[in-house]
Amino acid sequence: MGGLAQQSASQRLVEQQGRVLKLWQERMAPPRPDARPVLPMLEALTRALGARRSVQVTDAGHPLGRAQGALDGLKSVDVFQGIVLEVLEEEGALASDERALVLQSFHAFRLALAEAAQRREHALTEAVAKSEERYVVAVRAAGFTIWDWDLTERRIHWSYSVEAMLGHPVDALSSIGMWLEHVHPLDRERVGEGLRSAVEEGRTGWTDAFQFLKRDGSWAGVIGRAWIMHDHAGNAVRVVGGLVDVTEQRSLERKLAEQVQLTRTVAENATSGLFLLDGRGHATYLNPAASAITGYALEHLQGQPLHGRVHSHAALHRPAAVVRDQECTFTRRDGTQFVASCSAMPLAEYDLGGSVLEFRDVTELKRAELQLREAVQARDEFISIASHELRTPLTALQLQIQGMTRGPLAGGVDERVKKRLLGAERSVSRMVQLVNELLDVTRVEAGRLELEVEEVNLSELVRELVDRLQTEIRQAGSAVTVEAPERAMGRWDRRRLDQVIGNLLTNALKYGEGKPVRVRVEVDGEQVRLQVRDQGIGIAPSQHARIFARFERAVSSRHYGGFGVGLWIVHRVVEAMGGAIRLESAVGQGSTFEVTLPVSAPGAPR
Amino acid sequence: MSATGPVLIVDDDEDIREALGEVLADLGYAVVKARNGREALSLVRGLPQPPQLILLDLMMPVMNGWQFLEAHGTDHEVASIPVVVMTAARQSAVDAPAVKAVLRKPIAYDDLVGVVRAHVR
Repeated sequence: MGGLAQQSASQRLVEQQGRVLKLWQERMAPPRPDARPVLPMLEALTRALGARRSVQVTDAGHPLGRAQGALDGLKSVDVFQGIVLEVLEEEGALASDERALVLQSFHAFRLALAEAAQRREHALTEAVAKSEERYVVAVRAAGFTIWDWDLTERRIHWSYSVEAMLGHPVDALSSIGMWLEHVHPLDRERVGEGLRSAVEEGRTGWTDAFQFLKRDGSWAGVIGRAWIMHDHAGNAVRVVGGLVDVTEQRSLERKLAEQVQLTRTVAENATSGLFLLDGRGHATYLNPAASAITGYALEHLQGQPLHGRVHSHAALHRPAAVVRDQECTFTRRDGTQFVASCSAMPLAEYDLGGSVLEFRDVTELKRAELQLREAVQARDEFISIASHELRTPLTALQLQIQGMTRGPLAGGVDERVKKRLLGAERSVSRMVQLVNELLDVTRVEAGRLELEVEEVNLSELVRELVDRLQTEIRQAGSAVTVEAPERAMGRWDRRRLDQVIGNLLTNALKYGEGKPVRVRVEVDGEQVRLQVRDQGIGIAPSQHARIFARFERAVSSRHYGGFGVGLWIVHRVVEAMGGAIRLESAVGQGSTFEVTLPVSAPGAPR
Repeated sequence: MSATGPVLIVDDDEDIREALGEVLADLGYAVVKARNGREALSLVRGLPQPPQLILLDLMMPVMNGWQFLEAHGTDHEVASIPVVVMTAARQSAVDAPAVKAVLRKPIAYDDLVGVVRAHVR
């Protein structure tokens, strides 16, 4: 029975639905929304009437979602409500509470629809705002704005991005006159004329580049473009254009142009020859200097590598090679050759792997160098010969004087004469020393410091020297003490070692201010150490490196004589024997020179 | 070796010959002088007593010191006479058995006297 009742209820519902659809079609004006999605609403209402409660719009499976499309707009909800009431009351009027329930359900439905619409609108607004925001940001970043010139309304509409790009409010430049007023005076006439003629002569497009005044008073470099639209009669009605900010590009272009100009100026005015080569080693540019030096112009060199024709250096031909100041032979266009100093650098920016080749004709330089070398050699030879030649008269002079001061005649010589002879003797020995130094300079300079190595007892040599220098020691007033072992044997050049110790010792006496001088010899395994220490004027640390240089002395030459080559020679001699010299000194603290020597000089036969 | 033979000085420079001669004469030595190697050779051969010592310069015209030493070595009469070489060059390769010492110019009095005393009685 229940089944029959159910069946008749569902059958009734189908009939009712058919009736609702029919009325819907009659009452809704076209375009009529499809009513089928709202039919389940009728079922829900019937069920609600049975249950004596209103339709819950939040019920699961509620047809609201689908109904929305059909019942968008409250007017159609009213129509639907009217139809539904009519169909329900066809068989008899609804009880007042039943009617109230239907109305209540529709009210809730209306509310839900309104809420949904509001939500949808809100979401839409948000999406639009986001999209607009993206657009504005993009436009600002891209530096782009759109203007729309309505020729019939004689108005220009700008996109909002004009504010971001140029600072102008969107409605500020609303006429073509104002638009043109913001074009730079130098560009204005051209731009205005171009735009006018494009419009009047029926063209569809216009483009120009010009300066456009920003609101802040600065100028933006822009590219303007426009599309001109025409009506059926062919009259221009609308101009839609864009302005692209190219200020930054312009400034980059300007910098690039300046860079190119600078590079060009440097290249064109360089005294060195410059070639730009592509990856195959073909010249793509040569500067005026290269042209002047070689006699070639670019057209002579096209289509063939530079190597082989102009220069001979294989390394310069390899595009990735970095070459610095290498000598190579260049051949001029007339076939003559010259020696050049060449450098090459790869140009990484060149996709083809090119390089730049710089060269200088060094023929003259080399000739001058050779002349200089020859002059130095001639000078050294002269000094060497002079020094040799001076030895002969010096020998005679020294022997004659010493024969009178030291020989058997000495006793018979008048005291006053003897005093003068002793003075002459000192001068001669000074001169002997100078001549020796002079010859040493040329020898050391020419690298001809040959050693005569033999077995030497350094301690003994030091004692001999101190004995020999008694006169100088007395004159200096310094007490000289020697601390040395009995034997300090090694294989050295005796005369050179004598010279080293003599030099250090006489320096100590000369600059020692009469205070004690100590000479110390120490044997330390395969090395011996010789220290000469004074307590005199000392040497400032800043001078330490200098005093071993040639013709240098730490003090004024007016107060202390000599060529100033003593320590330089000492240094070289010590080095030649494989040793080292070290100085410890400060102003007013005296000086300590320490020579370290291997017990066997290099190359010494054992 | 004769006790009375002279010292032979061979040098092309007159001042040197003179200075050496006077210094040695002061000390009581007999001295003979030659201007080059050739003069020295003929002088040695003509002397009644051979020299006790030869002071030999190396760089001389006509016959230099090296040539003299060569001739000196082959001449049996004089090969035994000791030679002291006098040179201005620091390194002079002198490799003859007769060479007993090298005096480097400028020669100091004490060195000269020392060498002569060592070889002449």
